Amino acid sequence: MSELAIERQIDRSHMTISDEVAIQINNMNKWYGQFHVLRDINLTVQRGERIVICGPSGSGKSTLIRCINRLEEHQSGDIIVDGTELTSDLKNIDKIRSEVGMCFQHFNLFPHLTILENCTLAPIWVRKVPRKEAEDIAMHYLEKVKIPDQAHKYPGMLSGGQQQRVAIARSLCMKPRIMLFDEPTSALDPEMIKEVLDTMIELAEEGMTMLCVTHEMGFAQAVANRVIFMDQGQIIEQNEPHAFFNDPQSDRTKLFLSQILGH
Amino acid sequence: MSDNAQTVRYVRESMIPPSEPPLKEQGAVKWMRENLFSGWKNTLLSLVSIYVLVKLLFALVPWFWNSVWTAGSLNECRETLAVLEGLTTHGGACFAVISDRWLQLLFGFYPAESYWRPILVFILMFVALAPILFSARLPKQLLWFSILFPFLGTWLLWGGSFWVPILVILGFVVGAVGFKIGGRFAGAFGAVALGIAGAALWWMIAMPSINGALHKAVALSRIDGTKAELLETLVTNPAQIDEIEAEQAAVQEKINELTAEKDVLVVEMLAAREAGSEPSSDQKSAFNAIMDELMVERRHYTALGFTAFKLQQAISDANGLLANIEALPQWEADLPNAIVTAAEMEAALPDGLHNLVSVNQVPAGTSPEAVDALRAYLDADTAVLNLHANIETAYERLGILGLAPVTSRDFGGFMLAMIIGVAGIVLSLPLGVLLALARQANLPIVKGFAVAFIEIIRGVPLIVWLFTASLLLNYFLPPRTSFDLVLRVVIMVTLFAAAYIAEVIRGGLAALPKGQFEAADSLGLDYWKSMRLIVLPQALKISIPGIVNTFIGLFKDTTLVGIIGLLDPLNLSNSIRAAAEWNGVYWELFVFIGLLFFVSCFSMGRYSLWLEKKLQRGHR
Amino acid sequence: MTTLTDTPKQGFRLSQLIYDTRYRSITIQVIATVLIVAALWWLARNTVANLTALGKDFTLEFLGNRSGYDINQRLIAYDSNATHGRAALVGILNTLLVAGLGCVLATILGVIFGVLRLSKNWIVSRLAAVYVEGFRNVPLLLWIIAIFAVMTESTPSPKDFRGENPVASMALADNVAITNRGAYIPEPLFANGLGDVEIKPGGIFADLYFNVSIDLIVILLTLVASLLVVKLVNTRAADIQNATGVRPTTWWVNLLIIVAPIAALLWGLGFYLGKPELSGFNFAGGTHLRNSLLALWLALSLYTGAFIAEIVRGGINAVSKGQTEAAFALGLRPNRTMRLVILPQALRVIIPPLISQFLNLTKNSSLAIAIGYMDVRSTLGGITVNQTGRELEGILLVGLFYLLLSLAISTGMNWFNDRVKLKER
Ligand SMILES: Nc1ncnc2c1ncn2[C@@H]1O[C@H](COP(=O)(O)OP(=O)(O)O)[C@@H](O)[C@H]1O
Ligand SMILES: [Mg+2]
Repeated sequence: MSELAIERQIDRSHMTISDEVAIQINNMNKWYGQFHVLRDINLTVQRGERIVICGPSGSGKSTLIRCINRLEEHQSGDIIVDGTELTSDLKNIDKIRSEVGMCFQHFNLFPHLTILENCTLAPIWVRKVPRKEAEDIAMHYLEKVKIPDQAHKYPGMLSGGQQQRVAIARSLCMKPRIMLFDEPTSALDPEMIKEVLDTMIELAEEGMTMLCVTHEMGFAQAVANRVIFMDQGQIIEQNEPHAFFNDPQSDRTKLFLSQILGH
Repeated sequence: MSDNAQTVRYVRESMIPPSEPPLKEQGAVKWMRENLFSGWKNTLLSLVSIYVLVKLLFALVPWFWNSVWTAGSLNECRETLAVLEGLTTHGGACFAVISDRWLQLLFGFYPAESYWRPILVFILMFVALAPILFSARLPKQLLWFSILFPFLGTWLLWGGSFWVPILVILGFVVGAVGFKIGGRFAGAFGAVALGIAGAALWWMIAMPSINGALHKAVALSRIDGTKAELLETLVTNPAQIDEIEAEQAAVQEKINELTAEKDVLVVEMLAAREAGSEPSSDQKSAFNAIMDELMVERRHYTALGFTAFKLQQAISDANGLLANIEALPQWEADLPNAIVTAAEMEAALPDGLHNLVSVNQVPAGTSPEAVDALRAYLDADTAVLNLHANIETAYERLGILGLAPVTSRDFGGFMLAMIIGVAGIVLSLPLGVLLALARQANLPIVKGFAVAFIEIIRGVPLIVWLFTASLLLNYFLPPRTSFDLVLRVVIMVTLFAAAYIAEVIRGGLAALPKGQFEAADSLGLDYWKSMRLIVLPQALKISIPGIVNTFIGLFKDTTLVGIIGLLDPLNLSNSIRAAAEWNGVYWELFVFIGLLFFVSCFSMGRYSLWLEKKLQRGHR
Repeated sequence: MTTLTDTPKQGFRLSQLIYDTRYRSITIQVIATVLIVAALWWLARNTVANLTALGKDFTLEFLGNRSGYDINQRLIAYDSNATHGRAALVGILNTLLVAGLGCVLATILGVIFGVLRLSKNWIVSRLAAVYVEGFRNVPLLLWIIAIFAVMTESTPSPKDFRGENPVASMALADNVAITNRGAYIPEPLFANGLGDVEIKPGGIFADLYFNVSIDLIVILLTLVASLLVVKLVNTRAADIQNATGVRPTTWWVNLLIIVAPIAALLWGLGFYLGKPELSGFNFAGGTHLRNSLLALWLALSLYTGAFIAEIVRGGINAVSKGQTEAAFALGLRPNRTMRLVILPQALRVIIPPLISQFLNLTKNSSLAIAIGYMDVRSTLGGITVNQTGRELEGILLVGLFYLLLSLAISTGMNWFNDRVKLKER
């Protein structure tokens, strides 16, 4: 994965990390059949943190963040999101899902709905917001991701980068307190990666709590306050970006960094 | 060889204009060489095919070319062929049977004065289908018409008072209100339970009584007028019938004359042929003129007969209605007593004999007196039911405000095939969707039931299911319920189609990328919302070609209802052959019926193919 | 091995039945089961009430009673003194007969026309398209009745074959007579045959008595043995090819291995063909194929063949053009390309829908009723039901038969499909 230099100046005035705990994961384990994908994960995310998760393919990064909004079910340990524990209780699951936004590698926009309808769907049906109001919110976020003029087109008519920005706007319309990103740029061409990363940076500047699986190390260095390295279903190392990149401790981390950074 | 010794400088000075390719690279010759004779195998294949084609054309073209369209019977067809062309029976088609009976093949015995109703329904069907099939280009409001169409169409076809479809629709409204209220107070399960209960209560209890009350009100409000009209009918109609019969006799006379004239001409012309010469063109045109005239007169005769029949029917209807009007007060007076008597007899029955519907059901060892008591009670109960039915029917007949009712016994031909096919598919869609969802659900027992249902339905031929509908359905329903054969067939066909539709939709669901389900989940949509808003709209769209193909199959299979006695086109062709004048006509009827099926199925098949291509090209 | 999910913190609450994902699915399934069982119970109760109201009961005893009707088309011994059960068996065998014959012919027609439709020869592909569209888009029932009508209306009657100057004559060197009562074809006979074995089970299977020809068994065994030897020869040829690169020519060895033992056996048994002969007003000798069987067989095969042709065409088209070009570029000849590259891939696409066409054909054979072919629906589900008044039992049994047959065919075919898939992978 190439390192895309982040040229812009980052406004750090709103990037404050509070003491409040946003996500608390204790001794979490998960298996796929006989295969132990996540092993004893312990992770605490404070409100306002911007965490980048990296690691080799198959190391369980996606599985970890998908457990946080229960797209995958964990088998032991606790996950507490915003003070609500993720159990098999549907009400809790619904509550957490409506407060945690998620962006996928392949966008997963709904191809049969227009951009605007994609964005208003969940506010109308989950949050019970009146349609007019939902549309105003949607337009607000579409402006923010800089595609208000595409609102009445269908996803198929947009470029990959635009689609991913719509996907981000769609999540934001639910006014989430936490955003999860699963390799949001890895299905994109280089020139589109930048527009998506810009959007994510803006989000970070506003103080959003973000958990981001990505190999964009430029982004990690510029925005993240913590970088987590995972391998074989375990958290191997975590540190603040500068130290992580310049002084990795574990051999695995060193190997990984040398491979992706190419030195 | 040295490099530069051979190098000669060259500069083009004039351009070559384009020229025609040699003859064998051009036009038809080239096309034939490439497409038909590009090798010895290919040439052989072409020759064999051309031979087959020529054989086929030689057999079929003269048959169509020499066909006879104006004749009153198969014998006349043969006569015409013999005198005009000197041909034997199989030398030309006798499409006169089609020009005589095509309306019957299309509509069965549906009353001719009401043909506009099925035709209107047919046209409206396309209006209703348009927003579904061409969703992108039409306003969404048209979908409301699509939703109303089934009710409107049913009413137009079967007739009855105009408020009946409205009452049926109100049932859905009641169900929806129940669903809302239930959802507010008792969650999803409460919503479903209250919704279904509300609708069922409305349809089974409220609707019949409202319907009866409305009929009664209308009947009573105009009973005097009706009576006067009916009496008037009894006076005027017989006179009209006499007139018509006189006219008919005149027409018959004319027909007889023409026939005699024609017979003479036929003898002359045949004699000419016998002698080896072609009949003169004067004779031929005279013959044609007579045949045309005969056709006109016969049509006239049939039309008169039809009018007379209608008048006669009006008389017997009027007699029946007048009798009803006479009897109504008595029936209404008798009813309370009859109810009381029956209730008393029921109360007096010994233990263990309540709730029986037949003396065959009594447990062994019951005393003969008890059996007699039961028999008496059952008779009394039947009397009550009959009184109820009589009163209700009488008011319904007197108070009808809308279209003349048509019984489904009279439905037939392509209309019947269309009705069964369309109703089967439309009604089976919701059930098919539920089955498909159940089959892919993560609930082993529910899934098991869905799989069992689908496999049992698909494992047994439709004809066996149709026999089940005609012979067995009455066993499965509560005693004393019995309903219309067409309705039973529609129910069976719906269940049958649902299993096939379920498999089609399952394919559509499987074709959706998993990301769609996940994105819906991550937004916090619950199961039903994500199905309704995200998954089904896409899955159904992918499934339309499959649904159309299922419809084509079902439409062709509607010919099977003839085997259990309904009047599908094929069965109608049997009844046409049963008429003396068309006894022995096979091919012409087969060709006509086959052609109608071919045109409709082929065009629908092309549509589904086009759609499939379009879906493949489009962004999924 | 997975450790159990977190235990509930508080005690069990009733609302968990609906809002807890662990119990919710159980709740739904229990409700569904209760509803469905209730519905089935309601149907059963109605049925019992209706049956007793009519003074009937539910029993299969009628299968042991004398049937009292004749069946003209039969594969096993039967007359009107046999039982209804035996009549049902005759019907079942007739269904299996026409379904089996139909599947074979439909496959042949389908493959031929599917390939022809892809032909570059314009006229051939057009003719194939006319066949396919013509048969696919017209109801099968119409084809059955029409073909039956052709056979009965436009063929000579047996008496036309009589006299000095007969109107009609027999086809194929006087071996086959096509009449309006059906076709008469030569029948295989053995001068010094080995006779029959009688199979005569008792008890409730008493109706399952058969005569099995020993000649037939011996011939079949010989054939199987020859095929095994052929397989051995081919394996050896493949070994030689693997070792030396040159495949020895085996086709004539194979031919000899198959033909010689059978020929010797037939000669030993004194095989000859018994020709149909005109005697009196009808033909005697030979095998009589009734028009109802022929018409049903032809119509089912032509109709299903049209669908199979589309499947075959689709299957071949599904293998991309690139595959052919790659094979050509490697220097494979068209025949080899077809056999080694295209067919293995196309078969994977073709076989599953082909199975469902076989199932359709089998179920469609129940249209036999339209032309009086005595299949299981016409015997057990038709005449027997009418004579005994046992419509509930009769139709239930017929339905069960078709269901089991469908399940058997699809299981068998799926097993075959899996094997094809594994071998090709
Ligand atoms: N649904 C599943 N069933 C079984 N194994 C899975 C499933 N999803 C992922 N895995 C396995 O779990 C491991 C971790 O997957 P994932 O979290 O997607 O890795 P990453 O996102 O880090 O590349 C991989 O080895 C993958 O093969
Ligand atoms: Mg991943």
